[in-house]
Amino acid sequence: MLRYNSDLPFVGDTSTWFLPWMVMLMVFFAGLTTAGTLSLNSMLSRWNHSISGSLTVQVIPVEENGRINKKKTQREIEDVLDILRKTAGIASANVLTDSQMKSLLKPWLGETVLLDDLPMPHLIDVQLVPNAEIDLGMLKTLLDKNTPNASLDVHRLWLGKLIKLVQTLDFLASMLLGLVITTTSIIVVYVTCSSLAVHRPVIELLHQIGAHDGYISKQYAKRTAFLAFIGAVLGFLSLLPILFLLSSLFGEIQGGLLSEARFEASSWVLLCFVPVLAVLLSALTAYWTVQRILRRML
Amino acid sequence: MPIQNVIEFDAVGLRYGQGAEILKDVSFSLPIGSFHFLTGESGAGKTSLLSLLYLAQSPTRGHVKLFSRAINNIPRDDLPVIRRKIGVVFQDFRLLDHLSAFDNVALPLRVAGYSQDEIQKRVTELLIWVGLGSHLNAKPPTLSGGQKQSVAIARAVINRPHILLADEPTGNMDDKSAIRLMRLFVELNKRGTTVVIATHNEGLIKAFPFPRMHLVNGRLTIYPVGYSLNQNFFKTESLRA
Repeated sequence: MLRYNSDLPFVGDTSTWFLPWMVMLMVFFAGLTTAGTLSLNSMLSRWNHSISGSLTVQVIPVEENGRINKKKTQREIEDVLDILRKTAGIASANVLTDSQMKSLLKPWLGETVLLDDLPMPHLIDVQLVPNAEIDLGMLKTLLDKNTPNASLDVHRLWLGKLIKLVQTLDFLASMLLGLVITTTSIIVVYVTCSSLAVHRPVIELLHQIGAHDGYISKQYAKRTAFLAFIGAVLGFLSLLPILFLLSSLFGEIQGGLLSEARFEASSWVLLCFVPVLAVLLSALTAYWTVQRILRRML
Repeated sequence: MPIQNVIEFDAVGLRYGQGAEILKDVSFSLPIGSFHFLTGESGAGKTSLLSLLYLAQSPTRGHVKLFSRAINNIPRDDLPVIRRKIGVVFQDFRLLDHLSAFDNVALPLRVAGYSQDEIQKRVTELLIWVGLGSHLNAKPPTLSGGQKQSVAIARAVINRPHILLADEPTGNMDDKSAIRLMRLFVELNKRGTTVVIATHNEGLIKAFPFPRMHLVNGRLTIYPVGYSLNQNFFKTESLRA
């Protein structure tokens, strides 16, 4: 059991009783927001890592009289490969095999995919030389001119849109966190002011016997930290099952964007800072509130 | 070498809000190591005068100097150090009910940053001396009026103050206890503490020959030792006994 000694009669001070519950809610919301932000950023980082330094060229099968002309399609693929391999800055260009295609489609179409029955485009995985600067505009023009069924998929463009989306979500999350922090501070200020009014005679006595403002402020900070700690632990414990549930639900989704939104070990460590920060914020806010109000007393 | 005054009042006036002046043109000075009784009818301004002395408020007009420093010019951060030199026994004791007798008395030492060992030694010793050795852990609500008063006095003197101010310190005590505590004040006074005791107890004033500061309608007069105000000395004989 946590105990602390105080000259102020905090036990039985009803003005502070609701503080743990408010901190609990704030830690819950802040934790949920932080977890969401961390997951999004982790997802973005994973996507960025996996596709940076690569391109994909898609070659649509050549159709003649409603049927796929495999010979012409194969020739076009070879033309594309030829152009790619001659382009400076490209390290390798390889056509994805049937088994690679099947594994890509597996999450969407299941295990028994008959590629021959589907008008699937052929995909060429292009790996770039690290830090090489490639004139993608020129490459696209060249491919469009010589291989009309080929199209260049520059991941960076798609990724740019994803980054923008995640950045927007990050911004909203930051706004929400700011709101939670502001609300917590306002609540602590309100609770502290009420408590100071209740204990004014004791504070006057402490001043009278020579207590510095800091001596009284520290007692308030300790008391608030104690109450906030209770709330923070409750809030964090309420958050855990929800995060585990969401994490498990995302994990069950095979393939696609959401499966990448995993919650990593480092994120759990960062999340543990949310209750710690809530306690620190509450204690510091109480400390400065008491200091500010005591300054007005003789 | 001139006697150094520890307290100096110069034409001090005090009023609460827009009300009538409680203290009017109060001027006096108390040298280091002096002992004075403060007397006057109820409502004459004794408690208000004491509150100025223990820096609970500032005068409406005039100048107050404590330890040769004008209180209006003392930076707020220096006030705690000055207040630690002033021990106060309040009329209503102002004990903290949630703390034990020991912790109440220990408060001035705690705020001054004394070590736990020093606090333990000094507080226990003093509480035994005032007859509360068996009540160290008792909370004020469980103590009698006299015992509470003893705790309040112990708290005021535990830090060996330079100035001791007491508002009716023996009001709830029997004569024997009152004499015993007065001797404690006298002992402190002999060691250099300047003492001002507000009291209605003429017997006590007779028993201990010190000058008196007498307030009438907010105006102060200082009378030398032995000066009689022709008031009721109903306790004199029993106190002498």
